[in-house]
Amino acid sequence: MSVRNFGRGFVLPVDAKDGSFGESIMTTLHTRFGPGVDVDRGLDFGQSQQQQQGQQRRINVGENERAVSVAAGAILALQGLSRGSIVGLLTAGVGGMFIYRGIAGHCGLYEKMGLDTAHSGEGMEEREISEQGIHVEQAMLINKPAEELYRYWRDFNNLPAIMTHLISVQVQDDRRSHWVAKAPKIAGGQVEWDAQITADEPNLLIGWRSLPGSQVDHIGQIRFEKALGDRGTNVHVFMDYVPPAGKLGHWVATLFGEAPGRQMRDDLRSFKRIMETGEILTTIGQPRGTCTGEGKRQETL
Amino acid sequence: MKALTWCAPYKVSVENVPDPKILNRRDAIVRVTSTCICGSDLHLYDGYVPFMTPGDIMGHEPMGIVEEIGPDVDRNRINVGDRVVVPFPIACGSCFFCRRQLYSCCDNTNPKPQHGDKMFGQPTAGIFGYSQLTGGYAGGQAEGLRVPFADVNLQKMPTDLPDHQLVFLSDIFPTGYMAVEHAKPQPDDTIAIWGCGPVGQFAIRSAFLLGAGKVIALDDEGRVPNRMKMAREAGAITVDIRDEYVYERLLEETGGIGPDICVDAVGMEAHGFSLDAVYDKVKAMAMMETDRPKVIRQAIHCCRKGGTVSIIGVYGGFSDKIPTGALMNKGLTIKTGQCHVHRYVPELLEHIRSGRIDPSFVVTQRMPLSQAPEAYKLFRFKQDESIKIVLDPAA
Amino acid sequence: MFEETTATGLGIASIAIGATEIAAPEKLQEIMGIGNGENTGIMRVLGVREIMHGIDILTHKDPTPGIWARVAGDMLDGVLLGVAAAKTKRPGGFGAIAAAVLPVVIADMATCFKLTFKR
Repeated sequence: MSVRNFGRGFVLPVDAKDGSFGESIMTTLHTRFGPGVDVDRGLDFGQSQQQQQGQQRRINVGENERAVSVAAGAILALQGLSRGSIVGLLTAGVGGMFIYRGIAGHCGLYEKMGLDTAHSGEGMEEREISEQGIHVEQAMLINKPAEELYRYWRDFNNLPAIMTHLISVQVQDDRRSHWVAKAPKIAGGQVEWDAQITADEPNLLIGWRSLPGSQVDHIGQIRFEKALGDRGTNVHVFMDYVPPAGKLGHWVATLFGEAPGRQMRDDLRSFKRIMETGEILTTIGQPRGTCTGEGKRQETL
Repeated sequence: MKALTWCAPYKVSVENVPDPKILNRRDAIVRVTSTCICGSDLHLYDGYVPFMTPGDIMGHEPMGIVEEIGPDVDRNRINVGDRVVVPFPIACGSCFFCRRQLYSCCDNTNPKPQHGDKMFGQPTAGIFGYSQLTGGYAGGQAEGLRVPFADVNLQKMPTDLPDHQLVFLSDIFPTGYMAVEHAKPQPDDTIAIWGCGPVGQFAIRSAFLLGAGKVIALDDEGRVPNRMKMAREAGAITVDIRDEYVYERLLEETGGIGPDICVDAVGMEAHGFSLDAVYDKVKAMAMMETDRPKVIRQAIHCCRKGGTVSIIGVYGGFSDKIPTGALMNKGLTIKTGQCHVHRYVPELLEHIRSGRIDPSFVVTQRMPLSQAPEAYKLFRFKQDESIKIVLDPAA
Repeated sequence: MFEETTATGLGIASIAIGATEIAAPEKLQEIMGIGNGENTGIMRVLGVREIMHGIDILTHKDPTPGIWARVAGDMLDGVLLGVAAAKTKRPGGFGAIAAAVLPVVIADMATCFKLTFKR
């Protein structure tokens, strides 16, 4: 969006596009209230502003929503103030909060819930993902040389065999791939994303990130380090991700036993088993009884 | 096929279940010719281990003939028709622990490692027929058994020795042997062994095989006189834990310094008559302590300074009131572990072949698999009449 | 009298509409054919506003300021609907919702004038 400065801080949007309704209001507010209002999309916070306001005060309310918030807040404030009652005060309070969150662009409630209507559909910067996302890290000692481990992992087509939560991986070219994974039911049961390799040092490390527009923003890295003596290789996986249903989704999923740290440990264990022994042992399909009476055959677990 | 399944505490039944199948590429299927009931099976029978689910097939001491092998089994090592003993811990042969011969600590054979992670800190190897904690594998008290990583686990046996001489290589003979061997016995050592059950019996005989000077066996003469007699037959001096003062007796026998090696071949269901045993019983009933470490306490107390306490009786959870002061100040060494069976089978087979030991001494009954529930009852409640029962799946 | 009854009715309607906007904004957006992450937040803001109007009307003897606020809210809603109308992918659904909203707007304004100019 481009603006033209008509002098004395009065700007009008030129070249109006979709969503510019909000933008124009915000630009006006910006010029009226000065740099305390952050119009940009959060890519690069001004140094001093960031330091003044601290890490918490980031924009997490979408442009249009901010404008609506201010308007609704004003209505509520007037409504409340025109009464003299407790309810009126309450209403005015809510109105005031709405006005604030519209102007500042920051909603405390959204922050607690991990929601962000300012950046949906847009993809997040890697730094943001690390700052806000859930961090998961696991290490596993595997009795094989780094070359073999790297080679196996680098071919992403191998990964669904060791990661039970992956439904499929489609390698599109040298750098890009499309992933589909199971997700907790509250997040829809399945998530998909496109990933791109951001770093690739053979036998040392592989780094990747999800592309903007993904359902779940994440960055990850796997490192292969020679272990002491003849023990093999220490494999270290790091991941930061913003879960699909916000931080709320993460905590709920933890409650239901699908904690990502545990998942990752299980996956690394499967990787270790395939590399060290060539297979992952299963008991699915083995015989068992029913304890319900003689002669009853039960199919396997 | 017929198999012995766990249904509830004190309730096991023989049922018709599907035949075992090859599930992984390095599996083998063994037709079981002899299989035993172990003292640690009684912990499952009594309901002490909370990870059993109704329908689990029990048993971890089988031997038999290989009927089928998976596509990736190393045919230089195992083939159809081989006569084999199956060790109770399942090893992979390739991990950090298997490489160091710590087979019962294998990293790769427990498909349900979450339990072990939580209970112990890291998961241990899968074990046949020993609850979800050890991977939930179907066990060997059945007509057939599926064995993973067959070329690592199956122990080939000669065809000229009867089952009763070989089947104990699956568990109790190596366990009794390791109990003494890993404590590094010296020729002039006195070795005290708590528990005259089958493992204790093998520990006694192993102690002599390993050249110990004197062996003392402890148990309740009133409750299990036949077991005490069997211990004496092997050359052990016996001590009655009910009627004698164990501590004084042990000092007497060792010139006042205490035994050099003290073996706990009893485990978490120790019986006892002293105050601390009553304490354990009460706490266990109130579910506040899962294990009854009476023997460990006594062993620490009696063991000579600088000696070794060897714990191979099975424990599962947590114990109270271990005399850590005595342990530390007397400079004791504690050696423990589920037996790393694979490590010992070759040398024990050699002992058997050479006639130095005939393991079949310990068998008191051989019963058909279909009578296994009676066998369990007998083994559990008439411990003096039945020292070791071997089941025959074909009968 | 009639105005007060209508006012109460509008208060209840406020709460009902507001609750819908807070609980099921995605569904509403689906019907109206305007789906995108940002609008969910907006609908929730509007929902809260509606509920506050409803509470105000129902808890005070004189509903007038609440009805005035509702009218102001209707103006805001009108502007937003106007902007959204250009972007809808489902003109039918959108029209249905707009049509449903209209009688309420009319009732708001009528009640508002009646209440204000009755004195």
